[in-house]
Amino acid sequence: MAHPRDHARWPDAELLAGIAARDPQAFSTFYRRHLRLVLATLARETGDREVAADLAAEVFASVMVAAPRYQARQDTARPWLLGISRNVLGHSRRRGRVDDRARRRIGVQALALGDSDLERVDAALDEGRLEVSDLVQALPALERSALVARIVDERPYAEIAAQFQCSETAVRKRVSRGLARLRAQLGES
Amino acid sequence: MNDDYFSKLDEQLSALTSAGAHLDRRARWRPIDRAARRTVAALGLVVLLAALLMIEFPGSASGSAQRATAQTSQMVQTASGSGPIAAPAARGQLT
Repeated sequence: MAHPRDHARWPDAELLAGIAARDPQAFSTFYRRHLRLVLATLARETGDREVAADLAAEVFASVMVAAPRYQARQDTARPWLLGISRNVLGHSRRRGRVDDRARRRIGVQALALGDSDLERVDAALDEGRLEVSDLVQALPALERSALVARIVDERPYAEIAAQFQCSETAVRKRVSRGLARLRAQLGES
Repeated sequence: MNDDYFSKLDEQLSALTSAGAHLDRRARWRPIDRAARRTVAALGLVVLLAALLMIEFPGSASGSAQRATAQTSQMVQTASGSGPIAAPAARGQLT
C-alpha cells in the first residue's frame, strides 16, 4: 500500500480498501476524485440539479456501505461507481422519490442546498460535456465523422453512406465502434 | 473550512467512515451464527432419521425386538418337541 500521505496517488481499489478500514482520508480522496463524474451523470439523467445533488449524497453513502465488498477488476472504479449511481437512480425512479436507504443506515444528517451548490452541479455537467467532446475529437476520423453525422446531426444512415461512398452497414459499424470506444473511455462499459 | 453542501457532505461522510458507521456490525457474529445454524440443522436431521426408523420398524423400538425374537424361538421349540410335523397329503393321494 502507498504511503498514507499520498492518498491522491492511491488507485481507487486502495482507496476503497481504506474506506473499509475506516480511513476518512481515503473516503475524502475518493469522493473528491469522482464527485464531478457522479454529479454530471445524475444531472444528465434527471435534468434536475437539486435531485442530482441529493442523489449524489446517496451514491457516496452507498459507496461507503459497499466498499468492503469491492473487488477490483480494472484500474479505475468508475464502472462500479456508475453502476451504483444507476442503481440509486433506478430505485429512486421506481419509488417516485430520492432513495435515502444508505444515508439512513449510516446516519447522515440532511444538508441544505444553496445557489452556489447548484452552480457546481451545472459546472460538473458542463465539464462532463467538455470531456465527452474531447473524447469525440480523439476518435479515429471515420468513426468520429459517422458518429457526429448520425448522433449529433441525426441524419439517416442511407444519406451518410452516400456521402462517405460506403454501405449503410459500414456506417452502422463505425457509429457502433465509436460509441463503444466512448463508453469504454468514460468508464461506462 | 468550506460550508457548501458538497464540502459538508465530504466532512460528514469522512467522519462516519472514521467511526465505522458503514461497517456491518453483525459481521463479527456471523461465524457463530453459522455454526449454531449448522448444529441445529444436524440435530434436526438426526431426529428426522430416528423418527423415520421408528415408523419403518415399529417393533424395534423400546426393546420389544428382543421379546419378539424370544417368543418366536419358544414357538419353534414347542413345535419340534411334539414330534415331526406330518407332511400334508398330496392332492388326490389316499392316506
